[in-house]
Amino acid sequence: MDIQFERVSYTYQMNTPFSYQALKDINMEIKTGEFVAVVGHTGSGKSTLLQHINGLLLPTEGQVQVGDFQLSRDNKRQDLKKLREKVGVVFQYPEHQLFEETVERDISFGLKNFQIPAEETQARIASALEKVHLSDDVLQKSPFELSGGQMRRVAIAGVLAMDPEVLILDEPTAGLDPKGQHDVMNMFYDLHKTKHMTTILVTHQMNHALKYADYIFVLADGRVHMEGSPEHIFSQVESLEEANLDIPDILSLINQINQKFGTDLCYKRQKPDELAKEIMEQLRENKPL
Amino acid sequence: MKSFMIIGQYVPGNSLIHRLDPRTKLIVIFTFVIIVFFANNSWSYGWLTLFALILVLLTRLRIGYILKGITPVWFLIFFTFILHLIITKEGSVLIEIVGFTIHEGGVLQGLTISLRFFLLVLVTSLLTLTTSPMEITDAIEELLGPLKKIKVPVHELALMMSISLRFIPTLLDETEKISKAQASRGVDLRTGSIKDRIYAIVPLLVPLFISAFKRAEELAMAMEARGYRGSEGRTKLRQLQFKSLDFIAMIIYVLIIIIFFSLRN
Repeated sequence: MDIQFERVSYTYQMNTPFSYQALKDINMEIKTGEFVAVVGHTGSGKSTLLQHINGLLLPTEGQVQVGDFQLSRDNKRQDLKKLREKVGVVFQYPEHQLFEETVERDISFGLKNFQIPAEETQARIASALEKVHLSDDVLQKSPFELSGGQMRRVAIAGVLAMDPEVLILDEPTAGLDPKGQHDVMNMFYDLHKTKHMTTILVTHQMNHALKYADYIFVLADGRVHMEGSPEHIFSQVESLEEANLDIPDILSLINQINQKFGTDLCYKRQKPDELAKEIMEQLRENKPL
Repeated sequence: MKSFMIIGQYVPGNSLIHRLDPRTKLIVIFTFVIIVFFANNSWSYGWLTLFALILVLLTRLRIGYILKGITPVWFLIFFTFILHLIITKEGSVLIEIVGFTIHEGGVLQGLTISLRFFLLVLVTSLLTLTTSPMEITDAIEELLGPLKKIKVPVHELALMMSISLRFIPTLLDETEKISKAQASRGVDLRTGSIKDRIYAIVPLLVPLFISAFKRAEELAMAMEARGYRGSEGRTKLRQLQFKSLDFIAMIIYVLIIIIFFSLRN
């Protein structure tokens, strides 16, 4: 499903002294099957933006088009349920939404709400569990006796079981240890590659944005500050600094090496060992000082 | 959902009313609430209404905002009016519609009772609009201080109050987050039968309780880590102090009350 934002603005608590405009005149386009990252400093409007994609928030101005669904200020409720079946959202700390007595029932909660036929439920649960790399024996356990990382996987399985066409991830790695972060991100990336799922990653981790995204939107102060390919975005260090963002570790390493040794390395998603080899070769040619 | 939850939400400011000592405000409002019930003719009602309106103006808040803030109460006020209109059968008959009679006494009674109600809500909401929850609890603790002598745990009560006030916005935020997460999983609180809607609250309540308990535990731990041992020997960061503004306000208030009592019959 293509997603399109047309001059979208959103104001919280309109007409009160607390009113606050979180989005200002946003235009963006996301094509089916893309992996898009939305990055920005705290309070730049990332979370507000993503809630427009499945109709949790309706724009106070402008309109959002998601596939055949048009979302604008005066939208009817009924349509939204169909939209939400197709757009899955993994919120920050998704394990906070677990509530059922067993993992199985929690994963099937969304399926029941969207009236998926009962005979399909088991297959959906099994495949969702497999996607998040959990074994069947957690199914009968209470979600609250699992470890933090497992709880998160269960919550994610609950979203994946709905077989969404678009997957929205709001800081899916927050609070996980480095290995957990790596595993979760790779899992989403695999899903994107194998199922061609349109994926929108909201993050403040530039490393993730660089590693996984095809296209990046940088938000600052409720506006689209920059957009483009990761290579394009991260080459504009000054503009990034205006948005209070850093460049990814690996790029700052490459820039430093280029500066110190006069090499002309560039980042093409090399693995660390490939990059090391490249550095070695270039240094050999250039004869270090 | 937050938009209509603004009954008494504190709006920071620097108006005369904002700068009064919270104890002054508390005393004035407490006595005002009692005094409203002593009004018995149009002059005394008029006087109180005038007083309340001047208070509203002094807060420098937008009047529309304050009136909207008490939206949920408007219905009650209206309902009270209608009830008195129909039930009170005193004085001469004004109108007769299909067997129902509306009496003069009913109109009068309806008007006065709803005006009373309105004044009560308006003035008390002014207190919370201009005073931060922390100030209110401090003031209550100070004013109830003498009760410590008869072993009433005033400090603990005030602490419980300020903690619960402190967590209202946090829990509202949490509720909103969880309800959005469940809405994304297809929960619909707005349509369906009443039974369905009640069941739809479970996925909201369970996570909310879990996080509230977790928070309580963490807070207790953090307080102990910082050496909290109850009220004994505890000093205060913000000392409440009556200023000349408070004395002036009190004198004017007493004058207003004296005039009020002379206006009654």
